[in-house]
Parts: sequence; structure tokens; C-alpha cells
Amino acid sequence: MGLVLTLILLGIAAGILYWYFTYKRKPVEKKHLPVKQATPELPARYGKDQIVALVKDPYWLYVYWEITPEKKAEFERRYGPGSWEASQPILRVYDLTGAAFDFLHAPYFEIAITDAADNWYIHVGRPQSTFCIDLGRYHPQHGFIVLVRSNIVTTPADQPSKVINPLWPPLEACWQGAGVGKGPVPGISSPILVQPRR
Amino acid sequence: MPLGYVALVLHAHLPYVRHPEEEYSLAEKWYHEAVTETYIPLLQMIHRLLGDRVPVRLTVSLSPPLASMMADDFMQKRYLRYLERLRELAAKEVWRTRNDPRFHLVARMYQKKFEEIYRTYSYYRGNLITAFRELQEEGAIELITCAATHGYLPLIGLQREVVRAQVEVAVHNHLRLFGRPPAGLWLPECGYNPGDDAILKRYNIKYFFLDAHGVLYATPRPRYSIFAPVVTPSGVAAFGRDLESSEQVWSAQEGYPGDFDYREFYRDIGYDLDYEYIKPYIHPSGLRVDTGLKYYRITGKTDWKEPYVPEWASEKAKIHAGNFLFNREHQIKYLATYMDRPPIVVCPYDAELFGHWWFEGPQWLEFLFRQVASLAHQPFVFITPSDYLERFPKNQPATPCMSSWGNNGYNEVWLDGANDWIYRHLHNAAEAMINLANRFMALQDELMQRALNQAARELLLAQSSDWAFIMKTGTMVDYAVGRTKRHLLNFWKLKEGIEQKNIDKKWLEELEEIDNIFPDLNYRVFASEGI
Repeated sequence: MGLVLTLILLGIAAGILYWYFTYKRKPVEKKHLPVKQATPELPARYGKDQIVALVKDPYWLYVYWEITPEKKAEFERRYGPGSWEASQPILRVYDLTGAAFDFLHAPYFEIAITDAADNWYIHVGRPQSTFCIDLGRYHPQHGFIVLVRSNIVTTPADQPSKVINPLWPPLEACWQGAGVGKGPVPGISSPILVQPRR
Repeated sequence: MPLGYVALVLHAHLPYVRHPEEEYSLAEKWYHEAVTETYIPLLQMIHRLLGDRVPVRLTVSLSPPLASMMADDFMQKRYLRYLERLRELAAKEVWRTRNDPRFHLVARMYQKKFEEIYRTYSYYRGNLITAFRELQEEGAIELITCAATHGYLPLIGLQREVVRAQVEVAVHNHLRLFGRPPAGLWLPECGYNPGDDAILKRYNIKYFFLDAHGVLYATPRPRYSIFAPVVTPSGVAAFGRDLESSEQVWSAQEGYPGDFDYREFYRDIGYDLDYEYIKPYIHPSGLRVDTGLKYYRITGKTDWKEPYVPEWASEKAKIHAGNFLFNREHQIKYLATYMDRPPIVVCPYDAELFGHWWFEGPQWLEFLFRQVASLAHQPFVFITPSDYLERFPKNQPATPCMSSWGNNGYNEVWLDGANDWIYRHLHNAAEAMINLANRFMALQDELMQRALNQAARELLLAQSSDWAFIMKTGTMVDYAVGRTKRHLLNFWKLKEGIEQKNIDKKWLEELEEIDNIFPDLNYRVFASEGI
């Protein structure tokens, strides 16, 4: 009788131990969270008339834009049916350097684009200059008609400044060997862990 | 006063790659590798130095996503599982190579290394935050933060609110994890846009770093070029990267890491060994991946590789540390003759370069600290930017130039044909988030608040600069595109629920569990108030 009882107790103890160790050996349980479905697409349009400018480097800007069907309809109402098709989309790039909001006198250049485009890289070729871009349409009778105006952006410098603070005159020795003239070192970028295998 | 100063800065960052929904994740593996190869070896290295009373002064930037992963219970357990398998593989390798002394030695080296890592990891109970915090308390390292999700500020910062949110969340997270407000902030990719410094100032950030030309092209022209910081109009100091010391360490060709005695990164047993044997340690699908066990040295500019000899590599690390010391000593001696204050040479690096890409990197750092300490004439002193600013509070006012440390020095890495499409979506989502925050400023409802917080979290995660970077580099592009889309779509769906006051509670809970970064985030960081 005692023997049977001992055996049963031993059995239970072994069971508990077995259960404990199997459980313990699985430190990371897979969590049953929802499986990812195929990613749907992001909105193609945000329903907003806008043009946004970003600086790429001292010589290039990037713009993206969106024109809503409402804007187009308004254009047609104002300039006559078919005026949209009859006009040509244009990017007008104002150089506002030195005179921040003087659009009347600011020099500008224009880029003829296509209706299929919704973004563009613009070569301005001018470091330390301030730009604003109008997206508009050139109409044979009405001339250039602005649709949207971008934010104002300034390109960075590509060389040391000519401005000298007399209290802090530059020390030649510090400038030699500081890598000036070489410009930014090419090819240095974050070597994060995902870089391709050779 | 010493002749000059050297500021070593390590920027540690990985995107938030926590994937509880997957049994095995290649993205999570980046984190596992970086912990094994970089973060723990750096901690061990500093402890050895402190144990020998070698003075250490190092600035370490831990990005909020990285620190959040280190603090996360699930990530801690997953890493332990990874490490246990690695130890198992190393043990098998010691046995497999028993008759080949050339490889056996290397296998033993790995086994020892992994056992030590296991010991360190267990000592901190899996929480590396404690480890870094401890070193901060001891004064060996100065911990600084980065932007909340490493957003590339010059491009995502179309709205000032976005820059402020990235900074505020980062500073708050840092304080929560490390118990102190950060004195400095590492601008992601050194990406600087004039004016962003004013936002840093509001959060009591005293300094940040720029690539050399960011300071060299500042207006007016800086007196000391990059050998002293400049003060931005808002009063925050900007330190410029020294190009000479950068190239020596960074460049895989001309720099130290390309030495023929160093370990070859691209020969891994995950690719080299018999499939059946290595199968349990690679991707479950059978895709071969790096295991971390690499047996060859660079050997030369050839495909023929010779076995790695640990002592030779150590010897080279020692020589290279000596060379670095020698160069800095001469550079500083020269500059000090002309300057009316001691020059500071700022050497910032990606932390993952040390150990992961350059296997011997942590040894090199250790030798460097030891050699400088052993010299009686004190060629220079290691310093952190905070210490420097305390000693030299008066610096030249100047406005640095928009810049980054990416290829060609401006924004082109994060804005090119491969990734430019994301900005339309990021900017529109940011604007929607700002509007939500403004509109629901005084909101009381708890569920709505949670939904708003999660929307802010999803937006921040989408803003991570890593996605644009990965799209540009061309590896694992699907992952980066998927992450960008997933977070933005989650954001829009949450926004819809919030506006209709109809929140899918179960779905929200799932999101909160998967994208659980910044547990105490408050969506009001995106509000326009005070901008």
C-alpha cells in the first residue's frame, strides 16, 4: 500500500518537474497576433491643392504637387470650357534671394512640364539662394495662370562663407588640412546593417 | 591645460524592428547582431578599461528606437533565444573543427566570446539600459539622444511641429530610460536645417554634431574652422566632424578596417558550410544568412581567403591605435601652435562600425584609450562636448549650413528617385496629425486619447530615416516600403476612427502591442501651440 502511494507521489512529482522544464525551455512563446495581410496602397490623392518644395543639394530642388478636380473645374469655369486642355502646365521658379517676398521684381525661369507628372527635379544651380515655385498653366489668351504656390526654400552653401566677423578672424592654420576645397567627402554614409552583400 | 582635446563620439542606432507577429525576422536579426557584435563588446571593453583604471571619456548617442528595443521585454527574450542558438552553434563548431587547428582556434575564439557575452547579458538580466546607465553614472560615457525615430529632419521637417515632436519625444524618452536629461542630441545622419537649433534649445540641448562642411560653410566663416564649435543663433553649439580622423577609421579601402589581417566580413559559415549541417542556424525557409561565425581574414584584394589569426589581428589593432594616436598628436601639436585655445578634434562614428563591420574595432578603441593613458607627456585629453563647453563657454556665433554626413553631404541619399515618393505621404500625414492634436487638445475620453497616441506613434515610426535609406541602398526594399505603408495606413485608419468617434478597440489594442514604442507618448506633442 505504502509502496503504491510512494509510486503515485513520485509519479506526480516527476510530472510536475517534466511540465516545469518543458515550459521553462520555451522562453519565447510565439505570440498569436494577427497575420499581416497584403498591404493596401496609400492614398493616391489627398484632396488638397498643393505644391511642396524640398532642397536636394546646393543646385537641385524637388517639388511634388496635387491639383484637385475641383480646382480644374474652377479653372474651366473661369477661363472657358476646354481651357484646361488648351493650356500648358508650367513650373515658374522665382529666385527670391535677397528680397524675400518680392514676387513682382524677382527674376524667374519657367519649366514646361506634362499633365502626367506630379513631381519634378528642378536644376537651379545656385547655392545659398532662395526660391519659390508656382505651378500654373500657360493659356494662349490669358497668359500664365497660377494654380498653387509652394513653400519658400533656400539652397545650402557649397563653399566657405566670404563673410568675416572682425572679432573672429579666420586662422589660416586651422583652415589648412581641415579638408576645405575637397568639399564633402564622397561615399561616407551610414553603414547600417542592411548594406548589401558583395 | 592640455595641448588639445579629442572627442570620440559613437552614434548607435537601429530602426524599431520588433516583430512579435513573426517567429523569425530578418530585421530583428540586425538588432541581434548589433547587440552581439557591437553593443555588448563596447560595454565589456569599457569595463575592462575601468577595471584597470584607464580613464575613459566617450560620448555615446543611443537613438530612441534602439534604447526602446533594449528596454523591451519581448526583445530581451528574443535576443536570449538568439544568443543561446549562437552558443550552441559555436560549441558544434569547436567540435567540427577539432582536427583542423587553423579553424579550431577561431571557433574557440567565437565560443569564448559568446560565452562572455552571455555572462554580461545575464549579469544585466537582459537589460542593457542598466549597463549604459551605470557607465554614465561612473562618468565613463556621456549619453546623448537622437530624434525620436531617427527622422531625417531636413526633409520631414516641412512643418515645425514635426521637428519639435521628434525632439520632444526623444528627450522625454531619454529622461525616462536614463534618468537624466540629455545634454546633446545627435541629429539623424547629421541632417541639419538652419533653424532646427531653435527647437533643440527649447529642450535644453546644449550641442549637436555636423559633418565638417556644415561648420566650414557656416556664415560668418568660423575662425577655427572645425577645431572649435560655433554657436548657432539660438545658442546651441555645433561641433564639426574632423575629416582626417574620419577617413582613417571609416574608409574600407584606405582606412584601418581594410587591413589584410583583419577579419573578412563577407565569408560566413552561414554561406560556406554544408546545408544540412547549418540549416538549423539560418533562415527557417532555408535562405542562407550570416551566422556571425566568420573564419577568414581579408587576406588581400582577391577571392582567395586565408584563415583568420586572432593574434595577428590584435597586433594590427594595436598598431592602428598607435597610428591614430600619433596622427592626432601631430595634428593637435600643429594646431595648438597657432590657436589661442586648445583645439578639439571631433571624431564621430556609427557605433555599429565597431565590431559589426570592423570586427577588431572595439579592440582598437581599447588600445587607443590604453596607449593614451600610458603616455607621460599627455598628447591630448579625451573629452565630451559638455566638458568642453564648460571649459570654453564663449564660442563664435555663426549659422551652420544645411548639410548631412550622407553621400555628397546634403539631402540626396534620402531624396532621390528611389525614395522621393514617400515625402508626399509623410507630409500629408503629419499635417493631419497636427490638425488632430490641435482639434483634440482638451480631449478627456480615454479610448480616444489612446487612439490619438497610437496615431502619433504610427506617424513617428513612418518617419524613420532608415526606410528612405534602405530604399536607396536596394536591399530589403520591400521591407522598408512595407513598413512605410503599414504605419501610414494605420495612421489614416486611426484618424478616420477618431474623427467618426468610432474606434475599433480590439484593433487598437493589437496595434498598441505591436507598435509599442514610447509607452507614455502624448499625441499633444504634435500640437501647434508655442510653435
